[in-house]
Amino acid sequence: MMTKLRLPNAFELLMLWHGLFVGAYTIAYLTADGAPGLHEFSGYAALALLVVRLLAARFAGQRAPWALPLPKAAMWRNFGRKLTTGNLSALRGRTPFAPLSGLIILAMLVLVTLSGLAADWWKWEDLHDAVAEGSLLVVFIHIAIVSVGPLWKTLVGTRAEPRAPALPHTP
Amino acid sequence: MFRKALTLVLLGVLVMGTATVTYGTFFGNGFTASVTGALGAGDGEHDRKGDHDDD
Repeated sequence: MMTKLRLPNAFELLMLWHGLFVGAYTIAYLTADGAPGLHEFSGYAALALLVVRLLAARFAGQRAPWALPLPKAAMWRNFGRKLTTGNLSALRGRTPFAPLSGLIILAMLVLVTLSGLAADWWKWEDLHDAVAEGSLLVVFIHIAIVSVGPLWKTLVGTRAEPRAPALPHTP
Repeated sequence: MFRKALTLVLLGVLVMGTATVTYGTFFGNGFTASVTGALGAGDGEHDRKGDHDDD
């Protein structure tokens, strides 16, 4: 059996970018205290990846998935309407908190990498340490938000809904 | 969809880890130090410089 090769689509490229960034961030975090050379390498890699992401967002404009993750007003309205009517299915799948957390984390990581640059050039290490430590909390919140919806959908959403009682047959 | 995204993310982490260890091997303190460094155990640079917190 032959597997047909194809070029990755825009979403797959974004996920690959995301993975490279996660790798750079994780290694930069782990090497912060003990391995300065590797820390600089992974930090500059993270900065380069952020530049690529922001340039791609600039050229993508409003086109998904490379556009900046701006939570749309209609998405919030729809989400709020479902919740106020007690429809908890709004929490399954993608919620407007996912793009919001994506936007916050992007802003935070720009701060982290720019402060890292300042730490490398002008020895502003305290600022970089503080921002980087704070960013870890934002990362965990982002992971929780983007994981909870799909996990809930997988665990709860696939269960068969109780069927409505059949109407009596009246000839 | 979620599984595919997670797989691509893990692939990216693997690529970045390999790139960092490769950089550390050729321009840093060697393969073993780079692997331990990337895992967060330090690459021995501070030991060589005598840069200890408890000194």
